[in-house]
Amino acid sequence: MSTLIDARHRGRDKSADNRARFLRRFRGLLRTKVAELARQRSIRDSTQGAEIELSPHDISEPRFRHRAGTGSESRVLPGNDRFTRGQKIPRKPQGDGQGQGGREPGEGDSEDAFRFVLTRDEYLAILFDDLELPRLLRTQQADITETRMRRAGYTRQGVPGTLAVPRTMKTSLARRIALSGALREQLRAARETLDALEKTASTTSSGFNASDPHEAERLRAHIEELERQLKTVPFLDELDLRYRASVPFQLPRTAAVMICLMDVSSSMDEDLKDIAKRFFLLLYLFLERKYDRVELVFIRHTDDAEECDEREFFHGTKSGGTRVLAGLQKVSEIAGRYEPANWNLYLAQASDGDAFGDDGARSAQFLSENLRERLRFAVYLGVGNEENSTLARHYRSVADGQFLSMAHAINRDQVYPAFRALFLPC
Amino acid sequence: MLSGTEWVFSDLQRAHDLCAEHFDRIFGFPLYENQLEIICAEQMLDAIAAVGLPVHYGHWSFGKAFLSSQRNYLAGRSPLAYEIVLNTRPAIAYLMETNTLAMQVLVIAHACFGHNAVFANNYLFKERSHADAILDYCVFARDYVRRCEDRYGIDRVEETLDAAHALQDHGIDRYQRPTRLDSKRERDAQAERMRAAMAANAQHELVSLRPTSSQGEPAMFSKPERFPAEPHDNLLYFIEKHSPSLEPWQRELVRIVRKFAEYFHPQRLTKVLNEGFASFTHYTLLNALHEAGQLSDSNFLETMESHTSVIRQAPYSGLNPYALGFAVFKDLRRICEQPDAQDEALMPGVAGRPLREVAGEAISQYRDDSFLLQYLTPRVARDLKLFAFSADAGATEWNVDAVQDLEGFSVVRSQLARHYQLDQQVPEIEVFDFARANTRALTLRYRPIAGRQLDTEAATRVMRHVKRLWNFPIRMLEAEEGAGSGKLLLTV
Repeated sequence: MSTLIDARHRGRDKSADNRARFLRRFRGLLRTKVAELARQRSIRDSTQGAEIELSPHDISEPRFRHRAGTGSESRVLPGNDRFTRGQKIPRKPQGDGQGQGGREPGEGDSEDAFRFVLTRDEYLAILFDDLELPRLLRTQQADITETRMRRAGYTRQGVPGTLAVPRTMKTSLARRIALSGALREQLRAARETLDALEKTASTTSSGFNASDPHEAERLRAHIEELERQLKTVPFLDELDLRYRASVPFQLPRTAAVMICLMDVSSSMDEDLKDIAKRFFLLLYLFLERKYDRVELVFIRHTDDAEECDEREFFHGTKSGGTRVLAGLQKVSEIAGRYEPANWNLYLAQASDGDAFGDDGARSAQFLSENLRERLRFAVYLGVGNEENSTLARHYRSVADGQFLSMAHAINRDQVYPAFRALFLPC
Repeated sequence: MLSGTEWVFSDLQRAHDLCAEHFDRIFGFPLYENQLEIICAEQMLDAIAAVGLPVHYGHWSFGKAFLSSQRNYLAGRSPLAYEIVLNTRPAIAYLMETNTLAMQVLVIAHACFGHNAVFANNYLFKERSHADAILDYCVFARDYVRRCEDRYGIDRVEETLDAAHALQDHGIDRYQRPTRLDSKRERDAQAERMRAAMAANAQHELVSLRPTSSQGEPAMFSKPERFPAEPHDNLLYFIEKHSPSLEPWQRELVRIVRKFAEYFHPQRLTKVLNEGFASFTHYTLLNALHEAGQLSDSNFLETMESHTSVIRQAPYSGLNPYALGFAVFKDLRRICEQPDAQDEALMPGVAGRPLREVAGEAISQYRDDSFLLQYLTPRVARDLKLFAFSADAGATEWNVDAVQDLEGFSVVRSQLARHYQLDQQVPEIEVFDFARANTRALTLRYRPIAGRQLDTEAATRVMRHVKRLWNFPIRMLEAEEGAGSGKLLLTV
């Protein structure tokens, strides 16, 4: 009266729905946590899942309960090895430990923080408010390809370096079996006959069987001959040799460099940098989907440009004027480090648009003349209020949507739409 | 002979059949049919998150439970349960695929015989949780909640469920048996209630349009009779039936939460009894298997190692229900088989009687508090070294009331039993008044026991939830000695 069921094949991800409900329920809370994390984490880390910590109080489900430590309390505990009736035990002040007793159940605040891991997709979905990333892949850019060799079976010609030993041995074995089969068959037959002769010779004690000695002699010679012939079948023949074949094919280039260029003069405050960071993150995500490997280079500039690490880039402060051209010259210098045949270069520039004197015009010119050849694509994000800044105006004159695209965002909510506008087919 | 660590399905079948033989010989209690399901770790996590039920309605709190148990498991902080057994008919037991053969035998004996016997025989389970109907009801509830979500939106459904969950400890008629659960009847009755509710709404509006009677004062100034006439302790039921503002589908959701609260209520009251008897059963059956040469020495030792860790009791820390229950049953067996003079004097109804009769009474007619009052013996109190101590509010010292000697025994026993009563864990709160003639305000009343106060911070949060189900003012009183309705604690 029992049934035994192997239930292992049944659905395993039953809780996924309730997990999604949990994330949905605490969306607001998660959004602040994720925004906080986005500020702290580097761009590269942001493409992975994130551990989130929520306070148990925030997500608790309330119940009616007694207030701990009120009223008269009585307890029964095991393991008494020192107390006798009527003895007094000092009671610790309420809230911690409560005498010798265990904790009251339901003392919510003493619980550990509630931690769990958001997957990369959940993290990004919350960061960008459910806007889906994959749809915006820009298709208009033809991929630059390079020629690579690919394995394509085996061939009879080749150099020793590409010798396929197992395959060669296989062929050799097949040939040896094929060539020696008939010989081995004859050899076996001859041996059997000889054995039979020798047996009859030993049982009929007398050796007067006229033809036998000659017959045996002849057989032995025959066997020897066959064995000699067998030995002439070579272990390895030139016919056996097999080499690994390769054929050329076209492969899209798989490495990219993303150069982030930002004006860090004092007019760029933390908020504007945060907007820029989200923008850079989006571009990074986009490139990461497209390329196997994406390198990040950060260049910050005031009136002077320098390469720096991500922390300094987003959080360091540096005073000084603004000279965009210095930044672009640095970009050009760094672009020289990367072999054009192997790397796709992208430039992402964020600025509040300050440019003085002829800096704007010269920068736009430098960008369009000196960098056009080296960069696959450049995007410019204007942050803050200065939509019609000097720099933006000059850039616009060289922007053609193919090489240079421009976007503008005043606050965080606009980053994603701005980014999407950039990558929508023109 | 069950030997080695690896198992195949026929081994499990054989283990079950052998256990069944021994169980029948030693105890002979009627059991529900067993359904053993082999599952993997992820499925076990899912099952734990959905309070063990194979099908449940969707709610974020189950997702929360899943995330925390998953994290604990993945971080290696807590091992997964070896088994889960459901109070269903047939009794479904989930066994982990990673258990060794010895562990499988242990959990089969523990769950499929120990727990099963309590489910099938205990009066609370028989009266209050309807094992043969619950699976159908789960499916019904899941589908109904899903339909409501489609129709009224996830947010509104979630809000209603959250509010009902906040009251799920108060969805039980403590003194009355619930009606039988039947998903088909539930569906029919539901349609009927919907119709009635709509009719009542229409009627209500007509009534409110009618001019007030010419003679006498308008109804709102006359002193209304109190409703309910007697305080009502099933808050969920009262809200479901009387809330002035709930939509019919919301009433159904409240009802679904209430039905599940009812289903789980017996488990809450029989923790020690249930785990104690299950531990005693696996201990007894494993010994029987080993003596009969059906379980190899090494497998037997492995199960005994697990057994000792299950019934481990650390000194000066909370009582382990497995340890306490097991100790009581083990002592019962001793009293049945080898009673001494003290037992004859203290437990005349037990000493010398056959174990199967005594154990049968114990698992079928008691719950934790009455079970301990009835069967805790001085020897168990001595072995576990139980001592009782207490303190009044604000006292700086605990007073040791009794220790594990003969004089102290009855104090220890009654204080311990008291600890397992429901009102110790869940504050007693009742519906005191519903001003349905005028303000429609709801008055709840808290009955303090032993001077304990209500946690007003938590209570405020709960009452905010309740307000979503009620939509008119809600007050909470605290009952006081003597006459009068009590003093006002909170208003939302």
